[in-house]
Amino acid sequence: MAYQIVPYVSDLEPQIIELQTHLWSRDAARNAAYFRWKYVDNPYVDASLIQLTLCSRRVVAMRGMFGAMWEVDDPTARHFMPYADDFVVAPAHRNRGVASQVMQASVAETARRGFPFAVSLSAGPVTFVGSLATGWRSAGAYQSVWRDSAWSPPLRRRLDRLHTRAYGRLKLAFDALHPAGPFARLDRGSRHITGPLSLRRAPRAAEMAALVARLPWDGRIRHVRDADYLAWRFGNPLHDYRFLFWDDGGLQGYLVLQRYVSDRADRGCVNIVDWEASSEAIRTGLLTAALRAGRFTRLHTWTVSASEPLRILLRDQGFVAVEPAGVQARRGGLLVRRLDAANRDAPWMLGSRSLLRIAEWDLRMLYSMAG
Amino acid sequence: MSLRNALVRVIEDGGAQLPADLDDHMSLIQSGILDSTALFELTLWVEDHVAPGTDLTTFDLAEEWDTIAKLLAFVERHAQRA
Repeated sequence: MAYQIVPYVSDLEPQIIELQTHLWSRDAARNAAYFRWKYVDNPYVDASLIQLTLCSRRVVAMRGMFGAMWEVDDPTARHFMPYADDFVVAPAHRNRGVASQVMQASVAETARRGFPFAVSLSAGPVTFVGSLATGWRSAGAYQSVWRDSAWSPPLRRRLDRLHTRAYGRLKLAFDALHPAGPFARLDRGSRHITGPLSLRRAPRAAEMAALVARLPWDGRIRHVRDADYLAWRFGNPLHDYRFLFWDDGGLQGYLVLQRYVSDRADRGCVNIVDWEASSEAIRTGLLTAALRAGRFTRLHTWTVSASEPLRILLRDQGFVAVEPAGVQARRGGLLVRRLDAANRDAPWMLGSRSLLRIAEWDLRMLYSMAG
Repeated sequence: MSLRNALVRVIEDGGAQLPADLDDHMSLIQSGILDSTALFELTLWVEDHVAPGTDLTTFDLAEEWDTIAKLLAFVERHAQRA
């Protein structure tokens, strides 16, 4: 079969949306909304970095690069490092060299634009291995921690083993009955969230950005969290968010919870994707309020960039590290790619920090499309 | 079954279409013959059967696994370490 790599043009958008039913969700309308949000409404770059593979004028593979803006050392200096994502090959065209071709084309086009590095924070296992084979390097794992409700693990393990059609139907029926999914209890219990605490379905982007800006930061690599970014970021049509705020003479803290709405994701899981507070007492108060009101079956977050008090707090609240072994352990890892071949032997640095040491990053799930 | 034949079988079972005239020094990864799910299946097989605990992030996968001969050498090195 003859394949042709082409850059994105808007005429191909319907075919992209159809192709992404293999990855994003089976719902074309939701995929269309996700595409527009991620690539058209992105605050930093348009969709022109997407590379596509055509076979007989049909889109059979895609590799996306969307805009991401980072800061390091000094909050006034901003660094554009695109985020590689949305890698998919139509099943009939897998293992024919299409994957590596479209990945290489994506890197080549992004390099041609003059960007020195790209990152990938949400590669699945197949993409992760394929990335390593095409010059990406791993900076490390995210050190996930999970909190399962006391009764759920044996039942969940049993259900996970039952990958039957009947289980699938049961799950769809359950989802239909509980459109808020794992947020149902939190939403019902929101009237009990009182005092300095409040629960909202929308961000207070300007105030959240102002809080982030006034809190201490040690200069590690992190995504810019200004009002424009936060207002865009929480519009992800494949995710649903809840915001727990702590006000005391202005916003003093927030905790952002996220669940998946795609039928290709784990819709029973809730992630803590961002969490800031002006004191440890407020940080603790936000978490305990979320746990008490939400009674989530499964709650997950990353700890790789967490302070020691934060790790202790999570452990005391029942979070445990469950890192899978081998290749699976790397499925959530941070990947970095140097793009400027002229500096191939130079250290992979952003400002004074090494891109290849995850300890030099201040990472939140929010920066990843997993969150 | 020899290790070589086992490797070839894993690669084919993963969906890769190996040429009829495959020789042990033919590029598999850099040529694009081995990518996507077949490459992933191969990593799982190596971890399960040959080199448990292999950390894919510590070596150049595209270079060290690019041919059957290099894969055999990789396996031999890890077997000796084990």
